[in-house]
Amino acid sequence: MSLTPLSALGSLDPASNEPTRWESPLIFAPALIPQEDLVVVVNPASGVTHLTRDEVVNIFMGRQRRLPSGLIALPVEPVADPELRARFYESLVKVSLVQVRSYWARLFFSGQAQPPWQAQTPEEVLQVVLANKGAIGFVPRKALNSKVHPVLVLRGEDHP
Amino acid sequence: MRKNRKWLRGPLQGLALLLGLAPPLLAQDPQPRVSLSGFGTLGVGISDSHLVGFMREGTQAPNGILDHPNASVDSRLGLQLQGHLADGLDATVQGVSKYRYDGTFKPQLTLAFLNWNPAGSLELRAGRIAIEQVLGAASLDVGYSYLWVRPSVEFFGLRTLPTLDGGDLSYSFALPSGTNLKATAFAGSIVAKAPVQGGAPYDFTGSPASGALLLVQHGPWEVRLSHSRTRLKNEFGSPIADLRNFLAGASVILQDPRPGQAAEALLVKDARVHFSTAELSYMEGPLEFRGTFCRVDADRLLVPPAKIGYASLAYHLGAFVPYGLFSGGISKPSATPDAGAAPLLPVPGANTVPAGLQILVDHAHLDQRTYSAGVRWDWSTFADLKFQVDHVRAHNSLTAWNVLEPGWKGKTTVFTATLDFVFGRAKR
Repeated sequence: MSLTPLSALGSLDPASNEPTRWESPLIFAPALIPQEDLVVVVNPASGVTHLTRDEVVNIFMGRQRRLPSGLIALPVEPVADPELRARFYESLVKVSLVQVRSYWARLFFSGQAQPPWQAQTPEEVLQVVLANKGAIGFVPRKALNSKVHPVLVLRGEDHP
Repeated sequence: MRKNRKWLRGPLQGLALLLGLAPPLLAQDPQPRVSLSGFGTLGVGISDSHLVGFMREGTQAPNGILDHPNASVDSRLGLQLQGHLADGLDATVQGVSKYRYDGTFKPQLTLAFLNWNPAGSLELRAGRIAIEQVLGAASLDVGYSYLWVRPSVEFFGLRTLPTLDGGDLSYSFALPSGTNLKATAFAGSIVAKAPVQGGAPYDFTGSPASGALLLVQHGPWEVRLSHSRTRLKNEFGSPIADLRNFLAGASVILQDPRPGQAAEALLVKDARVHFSTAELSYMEGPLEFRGTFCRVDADRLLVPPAKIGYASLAYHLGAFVPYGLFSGGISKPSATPDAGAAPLLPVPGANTVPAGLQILVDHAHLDQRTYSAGVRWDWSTFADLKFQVDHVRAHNSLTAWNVLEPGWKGKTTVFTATLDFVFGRAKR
């Protein structure tokens, strides 16, 4: 697992033709990158500029209820593509979706935490993040737009 | 008439708010303000013994799994209603139907609390709560949430604090190293009844309990340390109370202090019981490990001090998870009280008093180990199938058993298959 410093992200619009520092040819050479980067995003008005991997783990695994800025966190995950979710959790906490489901059943039915909200597609995740100050989601890099704020990148080569 | 309805306004408005009929509190919040979820298990077990019934937990069934299929002991159904009342304020209500101490499936209210998160690190719960002193202790009825067919009988079934009416306060924070810490203090009174073979159930209800828990999470590692205590509020009912009264009377009649001392030895009211637990767990990649130890300090004949623990190791192979579980417990042996000359009194049943005292000592004594192996198969995103074999060895210990006939040699093997499922919000 390696993290991309946010200062090195450059332009966040994937539709832009301008080469960016995080879109280097090396990173996106298919032969070298088995999976696409996943980007954790928040609402620009959330007061959060970056998050560490541990902070993202704490929010998506129900250990912390609020963002560092104090807003109630609303984690959102895309569920239409199970492989995407599996890559996220395997990259973030190195456990399978089977373990994640069991984990959330324990927290939810003991009343300790609410599981992440389930959106269908990455586009829907972005809509939820845009519409809620405290929302935090993850999307594949190609789905990213410039309206949301990236706070952490899970590099594709680290995904299983 | 109209005036008489005014009193309804407040409760109805509150109900409307809870049911989502009031204007949205968070206009763009995609989460429903009320959600209904549930869980359940269909389980069938069979053992190789017709002498003793294998019990899942001490607050359950007056009988147990014998040498014919039993679908009661490991089956249950739960519903949970979750309400998002305001920013940082949630309500949870949960009811569970399972085989109870009275042999029925009458639903029980297992959770009913308000959860308030006023600041980033602080959290307060008030109402009927379950404390997760060790991993999974607050979700023992949710088979889908753990690997095994059932949690360790010696550990969770017999010697843990059940549901509390009270509250807890948690403070969590992260260290720069990435280590997450959560400290919890809780207090309340116990809500539980346990069956007594051939008699009235023992009522824990109203017994005050309090404690503290420290949770340390670092990467795949998790450590839990907790200490809790309770003071039992009630005495045992019949037939233990009858035996106690007989012994007390015999002591007076015979002018012999020994029956009186035996009667006093059967008292449990105001017994103070302390639980000190330590747990280490690891979950990363295919490996999942958990080791837990608990020391129970107490000083009564029927509530003896004990040491209990379990260790579990699992290896995830995609949807299949083979696992092994070893658990055991041992309590400090107690001498059978001396009834003196009480058995010689010309009273019907007086001659059975020594045997009765011995049975009570054996039922209170824990000296048992269970070796379990099984496999969990997550064939769906909301359900699993499990198969488990338990081999139990007990030595002069009947605390986990329903004895039908004497002569049990202390060894039994139990085979169980379960189907666990979840639905609603919990379906991931």
